Amino acid sequence: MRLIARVDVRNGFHIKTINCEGVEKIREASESIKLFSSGDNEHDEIIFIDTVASLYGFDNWFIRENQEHVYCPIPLSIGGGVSSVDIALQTLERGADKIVLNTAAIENPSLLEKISNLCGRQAVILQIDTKKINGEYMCFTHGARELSNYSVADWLKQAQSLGVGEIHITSIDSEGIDKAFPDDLADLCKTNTPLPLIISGGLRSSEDLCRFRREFEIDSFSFSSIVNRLNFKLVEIREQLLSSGEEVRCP
Amino acid sequence: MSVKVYLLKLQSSNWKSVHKAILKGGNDPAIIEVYDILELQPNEILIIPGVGNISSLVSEISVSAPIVKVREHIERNNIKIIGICLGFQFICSKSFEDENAECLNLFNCDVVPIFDPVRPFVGWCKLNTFLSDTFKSSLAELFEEKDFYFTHSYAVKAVEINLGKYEIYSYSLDGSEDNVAAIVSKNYIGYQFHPEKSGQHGIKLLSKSINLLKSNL
Repeated sequence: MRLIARVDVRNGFHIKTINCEGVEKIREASESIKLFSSGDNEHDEIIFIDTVASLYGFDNWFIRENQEHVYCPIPLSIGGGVSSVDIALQTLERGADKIVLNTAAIENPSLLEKISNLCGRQAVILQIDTKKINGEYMCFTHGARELSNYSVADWLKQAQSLGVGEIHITSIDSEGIDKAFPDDLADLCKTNTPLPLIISGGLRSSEDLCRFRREFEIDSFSFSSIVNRLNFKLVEIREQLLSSGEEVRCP
Repeated sequence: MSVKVYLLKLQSSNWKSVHKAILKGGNDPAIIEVYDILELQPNEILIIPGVGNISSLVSEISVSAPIVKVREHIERNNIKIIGICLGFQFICSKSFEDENAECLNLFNCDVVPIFDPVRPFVGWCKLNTFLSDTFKSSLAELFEEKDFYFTHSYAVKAVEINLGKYEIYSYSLDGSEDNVAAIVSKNYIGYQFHPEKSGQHGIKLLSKSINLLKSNL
């Protein structure tokens, strides 16, 4: 099982979000890299998403704040405002291991292929922010604010041929609140892509993770509330998962 | 005698992360450009990082030095190598990612897709000892203790290799034969996983790997 720290960033701060809307500051984003890559809260990976870079059309936080290379001893994925090959390369150059794309990929799907061909499929994560519109899961762009023309099912089917390495899917309606990630969305994703799948938005306990692993064979989870709002240490979550018979890494 | 350690500066790699992981482990490698590979001196250690695809990495190196010359130089001068992920695949015989990309053939084994159709495996795995009958290095305990981080679409299949007196570790995936995770020999070490992204344990493994090669003069 992969336990991934989800860090939504706005103006250099890791923020608490509800339905993908920022509501309060948690700490400086750079502090979250340190916190989640060592000690009792060491995760298996970290995904940073600048939630407003695409909306306001500027470079993501990681590029703006870091002139030098940032070393993280676990895999670090960065997203937000990656609208060109050049920005992707700059983001990797400063220490990201993977690039997370949503808005620019939907506006220009060939960008995924270009980045994948140049940097390798393993460096490309497709971010999908979704909720149901008229009974169908649709993709949203610009920090989950703008409805696109893509259904999740159609976009997932295209992703593999565009060179995507992983899918990071967020359920907007259950993100940041006491509502579970929807079962029908988990099922839709597993049915429509063979790619490694990370689910996010509505994971509140080790029981939630166990259930999605058992019922949908999903083994990668990105979450924020468990650690930042419910105040569990990740080492406690690992122990709970181990005692439930799950395979987890013990750093 | 102090043995110099070099890290190859490749665009097709995350060499800066590898550099910082090695520094944290207590070694201070010099950065070497690809056009200086043939300047390496006898018994020196070269670390080859790598991410992306094999074609990019091979073309980046072969522009500066023909691959056959690099191989001759390494063997003639007893140069020690640590290959990481794509860097490991580069020191194998050939990769089916691009059969025309000429590899170093320091390990006599092919690199093939993990899954059909091709898709990546991403995640942390524990390793199994696959073959260490005749050789067991000081790294053995480190391999057996913790998980390591993998992200790759191509691998060496453990069943297909017969490397004699080498120490080989593998990992298992559903729907795939066992893949090689690590090969350790007297002069060459290959890691399919990323020690520089495998937490503090990976940093420790990198450090011990360099020290092992330093001691194998």
